[in-house]
Amino acid sequence: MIFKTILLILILGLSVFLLGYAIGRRIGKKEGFSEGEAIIPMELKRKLMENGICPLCHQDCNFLKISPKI
Amino acid sequence: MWPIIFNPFALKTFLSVFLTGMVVKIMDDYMDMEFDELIKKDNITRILRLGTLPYALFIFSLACILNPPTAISLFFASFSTGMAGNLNAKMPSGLYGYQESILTIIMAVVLFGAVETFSSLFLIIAIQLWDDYADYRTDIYSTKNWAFLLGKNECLLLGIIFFISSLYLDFFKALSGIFSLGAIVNIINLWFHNVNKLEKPDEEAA
Repeated sequence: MIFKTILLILILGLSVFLLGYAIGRRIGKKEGFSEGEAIIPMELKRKLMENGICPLCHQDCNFLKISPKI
Repeated sequence: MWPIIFNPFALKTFLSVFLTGMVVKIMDDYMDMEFDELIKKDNITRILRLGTLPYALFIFSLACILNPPTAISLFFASFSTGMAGNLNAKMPSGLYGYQESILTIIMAVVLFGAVETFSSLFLIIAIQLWDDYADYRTDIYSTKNWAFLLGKNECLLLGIIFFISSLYLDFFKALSGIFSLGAIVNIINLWFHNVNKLEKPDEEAA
């Protein structure tokens, strides 16, 4: 009887944990995606301003040639 | 421990679960035969060929002799979870996958009772989820993998919950199922290892 009660508590506990984990992960993923969307353009601009090299195509904007850093 | 070993009922149940597990594995490989051929994955039907069906039926008859409710309820459970994988596909019977699945479960409840049916169903779902979790890296071609659909950790957690539920309903059957799973996986790996060694001795030596 005690064993069955322990199993029941485990089932309930794990179910609640799973529900929280699954909902939290999905919400976290969406939040992370929108945060990333907001940060990435600024981050790319910062890198371009610092180095003068396009972070996407690696072109040197000052001399209009492909950077040797590739 | 000794009462379990010398208890014929427990021994019969364990063997029945083990043999039904073999049948389910053969059935699963039979269903995935063409897919496994494409991705060059080991498949039992490659070894048994035309003998697949007769051997499966023979092993299932042995399982049914030992403990009919356990063997048949496990088989019904695996049948219904297998059909649930293709919910909206039309089956050869003319019914949709989910209809076959629900009908099988209702039939099992009527024939064997709710405890026997749901303990088997939960055990088979737990094994299915564990299998999908273990195949997460290698199963990149499959869209039916629950680890992709639910998420890797959710799949493992849900598998554990289903296993504990099965343990709650029928302690001995759930334990037999897990031991049988390990035994069957190892036996089949060993079997494929020997067959591959016989088929390609040069590659093995190199």
